[in-house]
Amino acid sequence: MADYRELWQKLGMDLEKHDVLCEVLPQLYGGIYLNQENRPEGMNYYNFVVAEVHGLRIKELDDHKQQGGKVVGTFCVFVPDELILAAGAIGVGLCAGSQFWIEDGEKVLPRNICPLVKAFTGAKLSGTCPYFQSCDMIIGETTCDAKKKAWEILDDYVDTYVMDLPQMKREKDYKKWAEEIYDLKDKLEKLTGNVITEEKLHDAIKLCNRKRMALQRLYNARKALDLPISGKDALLISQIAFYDNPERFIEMTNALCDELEDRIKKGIAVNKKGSKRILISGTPMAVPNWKIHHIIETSGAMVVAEETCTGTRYFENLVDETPTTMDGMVKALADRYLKINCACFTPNKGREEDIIRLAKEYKADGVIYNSLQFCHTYNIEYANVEKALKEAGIPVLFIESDYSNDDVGQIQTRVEAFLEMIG
Amino acid sequence: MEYDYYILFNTHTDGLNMAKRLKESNIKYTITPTPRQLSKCCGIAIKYEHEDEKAILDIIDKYDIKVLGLHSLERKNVDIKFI
Amino acid sequence: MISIGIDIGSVCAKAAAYDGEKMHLLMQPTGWNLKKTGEELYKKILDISGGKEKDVVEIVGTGYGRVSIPFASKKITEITCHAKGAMYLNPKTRTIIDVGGQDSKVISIDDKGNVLEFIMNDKCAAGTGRFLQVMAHVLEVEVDELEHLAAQSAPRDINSMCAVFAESEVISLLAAGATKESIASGILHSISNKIAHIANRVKIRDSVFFTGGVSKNEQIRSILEKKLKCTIYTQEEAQYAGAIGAALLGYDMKS
Repeated sequence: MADYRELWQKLGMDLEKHDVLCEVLPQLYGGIYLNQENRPEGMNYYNFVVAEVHGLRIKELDDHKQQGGKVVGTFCVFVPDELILAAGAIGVGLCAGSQFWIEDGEKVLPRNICPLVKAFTGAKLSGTCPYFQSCDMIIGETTCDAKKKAWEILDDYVDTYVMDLPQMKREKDYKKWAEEIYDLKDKLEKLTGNVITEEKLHDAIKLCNRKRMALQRLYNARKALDLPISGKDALLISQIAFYDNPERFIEMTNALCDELEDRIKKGIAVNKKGSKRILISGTPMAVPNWKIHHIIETSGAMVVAEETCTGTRYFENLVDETPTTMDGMVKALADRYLKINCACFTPNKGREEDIIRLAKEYKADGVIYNSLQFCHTYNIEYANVEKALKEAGIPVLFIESDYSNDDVGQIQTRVEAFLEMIG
Repeated sequence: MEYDYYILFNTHTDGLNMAKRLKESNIKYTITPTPRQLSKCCGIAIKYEHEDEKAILDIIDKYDIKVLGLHSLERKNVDIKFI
Repeated sequence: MISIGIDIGSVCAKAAAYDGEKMHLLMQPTGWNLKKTGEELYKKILDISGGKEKDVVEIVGTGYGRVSIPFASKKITEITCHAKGAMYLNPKTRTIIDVGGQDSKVISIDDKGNVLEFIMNDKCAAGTGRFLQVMAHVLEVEVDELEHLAAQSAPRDINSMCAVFAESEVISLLAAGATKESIASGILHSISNKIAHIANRVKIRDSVFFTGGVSKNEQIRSILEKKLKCTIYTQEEAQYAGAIGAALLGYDMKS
C-alpha cells in the first residue's frame, strides 16, 4: 500500500494517535458495510473512497496546494460551496462523527454540549484529521450557540471565518444573507488571490446543481418498494459527497444510479418482503456515525430517506441557473440556501411540512427522530414535530444519542419495540 | 474455519486496474479497506471468492498487474463497537 | 401445548409458562452468566408446569438479556411483552409504569394490549432501580431497607437527578449530620420525581399499573400517585408482567 505517512507528517499530524483511528476504522467499516448482502456493485467506488479516505483524497488536496491552490473546510449545509469552487479553492465538509475526538474536544469545551462540536474541536486539537490539517481556512456559521462559541476557540488553531446566518425568514433576512454571501466572496478572493468572476460563479452553480441532481436521483431510487440500496449505503454516499472531488462523485453516483434503476426494473431488492420503511429526521450524521442506521437495518427495517443535513437538506432545491449577473446569482444562492429548514430558525413550520411530505413520498411506515445529545434546537423542536406527525397519523420514535457505544442496547430495544408497535 | 481472501497492492492505481479487469471478466469482487492484520497502512485491497483464484492469477499474468500477493485471513465474528 | 416466556432483566430473571389455562411463574437473580440463567429457568419452569419438552410450542425471550437466550424461538422486546402481560394481570390497564434494574419505561396501551406509545429513560441510571442500588450502597444498607427507613422521617432534598452527582450529594448530607432515615426518604422522592418526569411525557389514562422490581416499593408508588394525580395499582405478580406477556404472545402465535 502506498505510504502516506510522509504526507501526514508534513500536515503536522499526530501519527501515533492517528494510527489508532486507522486501526479501528477498517474493522468498523467491514462489520457495518461489507457484511451487507446483495449490495450494488457500484458501491465498490465508495468502498474505495473509504479505504483511501485519509490517503488518496488528501494527496489530491496536497497536489492542489502545491500548485498554489487553497483548501477550505466547512461544517454546515448553509455555507455555499459554489463560492469556494468559483474562487478556485477546494471545499471539504469536515466530518466530526466519532467518539474518538470527544476527549480532546473536552479539553477546551464543556462536556454538556453537542458531540459534533466537541468532535470537530477535538479533531483539530489532536491533529488526527488530515482534512482539517489540510485546510487553509474554516468557514463557520451561527447555526447554534455551541458552534458560535467554538469558532472563537478554533480560531487559535486555524483561520476561522464566520458567516452570520439569519434565524428568521423575512424579506430582510434574505437580503442580509445575500450580503453575507457577498462578504464571503470578498474573503475567499483575498484568501485565494483569485477573482470570482460571473462566469466562474455560474459554472460553479451548474456544477453544484449537477451534484444535487445526482443525489436526488439516488434518493428517488429509494422510493421503490423493492429497495435497490440500503439506507446505510445511501447515507455513506451523502457523507462522501461532502469531501469527494465533485466531478468524479457525480460521475460515479450517476453510474450507481443506472445500476439501481436497472435493479428496480428487475425487482432486485436488498430488503426482505414486508420490512418496515423508516424515515430518519433530525441532526446530521457525520462520518463515521452510522450507528442509528445500523441498529435499524439489523432490526429488520430499512431506512428509506434522511431528513437531515447529511440527507435531503443537503440537496433539495436547486439554485436558479437563469441569472448571469453577480447580483442575480448571489440572490439566487441566497434564495436557495435560506430555503433549507434547519431547527435554528424560528418559526420553522416548513420542517414539519417537509417531514410529512417526505414520509409520504418515500412511503415510510414511521419516522425515527434522531437528535444529537444536547442539540437544543432539534431536541426542542421535537415537541411540535411530534404533534404534527401525530395529527398526520404517522408514528414517530424519539432518540437522543451521541457517538458512543454505551446506549446501543437501549436504542436497539426502543427501535425494536417501535417496529413491533407499527407492525 | 472459514477464510476471506484478499489481493493486496502497492498502489491504489494497481488496485483499480485489477478491479477493472475483474469486472470485464465477470468475476465477483469487493474493494475493501486493507485489513490491519495484513498491512499497517490505510489503503485498498480486493476481496475475492476462493474459487476464482485460478482465474485471478491468470488475469494478473495476462495484464501484468503488480500485486503484493494473494492473502487469506481467518473470518472472525467481531462485535461492532462504534467509535 | 405450552408456551414459555423468559424475561432476563438486569437484576432479576423471570419465567412464565402458559398452557392455555394456567400461568406458572418463577424468578431468580440474573447473575453474570445470562445464558446459563436462561437455561436453568427454562428447565425449572417446565418442571413446575408439569409439561414435557415436546409440549413446548414456543419459547419467547424478552428483557435486555433476550439476545442471550439462544434457544428462544422468538425474541420480542419487553415493551410489547409488558403491554400484553399487564393486560392479562388486569384488563383495565391502559398505562404501565415499569421500573426495573436499569430501565424505566411508560407504556400506553389500547383495550387489546397493543402498544400505542412508549417512553424509555435514556442511558442514565436516574429513575431506575440502579439509582436505588447506588444510593443504598452509600448509606450502607440493603435496597429493601430503604422503604422502612424512609417511612420514619420527612425527606431531605436531593436535587441531583444524576446518580453520580446524587451520590456526592448524599455523602455531603451524611457529613452534615443528616439522618439515614431522612436521606432514604429523600432518595425515594428523588427517584419518584424522575419517574414522574418520564411518565408526564405520555398521556396517562386509567388504570395505571406499576410493574418491575421497583414496584415492590410501596412508598414510591404512593409518592407517584400524588405527583401524577392518579391511582396507581400494583400486585404481587407485577414483576412478572414481561415474562407473562412473552408466554402469552408465544401462545397466541401458535393457536
